[in-house]
Amino acid sequence: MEINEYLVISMFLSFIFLLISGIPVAWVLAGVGIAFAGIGYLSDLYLGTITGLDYNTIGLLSNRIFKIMDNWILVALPMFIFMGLALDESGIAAKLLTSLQRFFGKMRGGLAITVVILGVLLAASTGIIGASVVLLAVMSLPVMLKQGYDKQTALGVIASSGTLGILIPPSIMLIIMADQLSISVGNLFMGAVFPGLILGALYVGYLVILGIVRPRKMPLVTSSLDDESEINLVWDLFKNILPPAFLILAVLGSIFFGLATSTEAAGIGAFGSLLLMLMNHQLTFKKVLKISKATMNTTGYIFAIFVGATCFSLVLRELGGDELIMSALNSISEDPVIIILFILGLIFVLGFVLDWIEITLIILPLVAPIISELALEINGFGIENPTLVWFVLLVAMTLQTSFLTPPVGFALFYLKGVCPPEIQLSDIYKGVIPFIILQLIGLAIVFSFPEIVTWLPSIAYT
Amino acid sequence: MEAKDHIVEPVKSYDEVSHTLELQGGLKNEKIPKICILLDSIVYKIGTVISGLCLLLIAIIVIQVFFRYTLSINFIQLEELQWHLYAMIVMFGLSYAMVNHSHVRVDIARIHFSTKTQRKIEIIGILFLMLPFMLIVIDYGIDMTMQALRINERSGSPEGLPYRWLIKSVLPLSFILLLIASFSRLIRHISFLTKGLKNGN
Repeated sequence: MEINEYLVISMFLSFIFLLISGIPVAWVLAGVGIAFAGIGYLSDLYLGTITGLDYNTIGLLSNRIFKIMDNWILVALPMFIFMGLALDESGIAAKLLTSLQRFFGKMRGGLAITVVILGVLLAASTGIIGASVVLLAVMSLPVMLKQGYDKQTALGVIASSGTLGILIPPSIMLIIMADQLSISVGNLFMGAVFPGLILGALYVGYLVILGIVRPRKMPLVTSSLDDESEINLVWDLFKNILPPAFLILAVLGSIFFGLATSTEAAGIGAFGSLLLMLMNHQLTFKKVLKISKATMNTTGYIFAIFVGATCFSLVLRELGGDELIMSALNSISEDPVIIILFILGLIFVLGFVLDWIEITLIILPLVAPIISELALEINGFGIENPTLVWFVLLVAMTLQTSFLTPPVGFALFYLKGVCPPEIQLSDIYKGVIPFIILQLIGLAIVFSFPEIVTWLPSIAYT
Repeated sequence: MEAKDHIVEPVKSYDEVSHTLELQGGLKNEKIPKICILLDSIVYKIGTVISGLCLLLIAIIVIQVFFRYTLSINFIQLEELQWHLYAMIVMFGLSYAMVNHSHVRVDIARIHFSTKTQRKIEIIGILFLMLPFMLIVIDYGIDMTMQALRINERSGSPEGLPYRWLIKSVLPLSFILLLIASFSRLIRHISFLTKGLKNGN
């Protein structure tokens, strides 16, 4: 092995070591990058490597950061975050939950199904796992426990529905992935629709079957709701589901039909969410300021990692890190399927310690060229880069599964953070297991039928 | 000043969760040096003002889309203004998230450390990881801005926005704010470690 390969490996190892120490991820990335630029410079002087790293090379950083600043695609990111926060603040989610619960309340497992539906609808609103898990848990866990639901089932549903948000468009993760790999945001959004729906359907199917097989896990309500007329319930549900559904469909629809770019759609979506607040009599100066501040805060910590990862990858590349990873992956197998499975496995494991932001920004750009070069014949219906679009969605689903997986999935910890104290982490662990199996089934389906991903983008924009 | 950290204003339930993680181990009851409160509030206030640009950005996108559909005009300036505003929100967000204790960390091991160890690690992180990075970015950021000023750089398209140096100056400026925020954090941890015992921690 050559000296610079040792440097690459020690760069990754110091990154992981410092990460575990609890220093913010962004600064670990940035600092390790700078440190190894120095080490690379010294090794050029004394060890005879040719990394070419010096103070001038690292000066490329300002240009790279400016590239993030003048990136028109990423403008969508704060806009979608704003939209999500405004939807939360508008009180629509809470209203929707109540009417969904009244509607499905009479059915066995109805409450749990409600959470899944809400997860799918609100997915659009957040795209940040912590936020959707917390929101769903705060709103629905107390109700489910009061109704006598098996707590493990309740926790499992909440954790898994909450993580759907990173997959279902308009997910901010997909925007960043599209930006990193130079593929169209629209294609990724459209490609994610069916995988997201399949997962949602798998969850609902499981809950319905569970309700039949193990009725005691999901008892029926015996409350005063029974005397309400069906018509009223339907009308109520319709009234509450319409505004958010309309907003989300408008955003996705305008992208689908090529009426607006994803950035414009995001801005219009943010505007629409303000209108929804107005309709709900929630539009106050104080709330708008709160949403703006929270938007800035969230974009701030996401982009800190962006900036840090820029520094890390710049130096990694100079040290020859991408060639090392490429040759390592190519030496695993000749079979493209095995290479893809290996990468997904790697990402699954990395998802235990890293958030999607780091994985998207560091790992994805490193493995993407390999995927593009694989001799894979998938039916792309003529869309651009079908293999990459399909692969990115596999990665997205893998990450989502990883965040659910004990012992260290992110979603589980956020859930624990808002649970009543009598709920143990082990309850959450046991609760998510059936859902992890469902995730793997979903993943296998999308893996075997790439057309699920590529078909919708191919008929869009016409 | 109140002993509690008045800067931290829970923005959202999700952020509250990160706060509790962040504030674990006595940060809450800590006596914060006055200088830190001052520095933090400068960063916080600048951030609050800039966060208002989110609304302006929404307005500009809506106006641009409106013009395109009603009058079929595309204003390049409006399009460029969008990323200018976004860049300001994002870059000044770095220091804003820092005073809000929102930067993402891996907590698996950290929560098992004592407060003192946590602070020592934090000090090492700021001095050896953040500081060199920030200084380098500020140095080259100023270079880049001055270069743009010298050649009077403007947008690549004829109808685009002039004064490119203005938006380029956001890079060094936002990193100077980040530097201020991290200095404040540094002073706070050092003052805790040197005389923390007196304050009943």
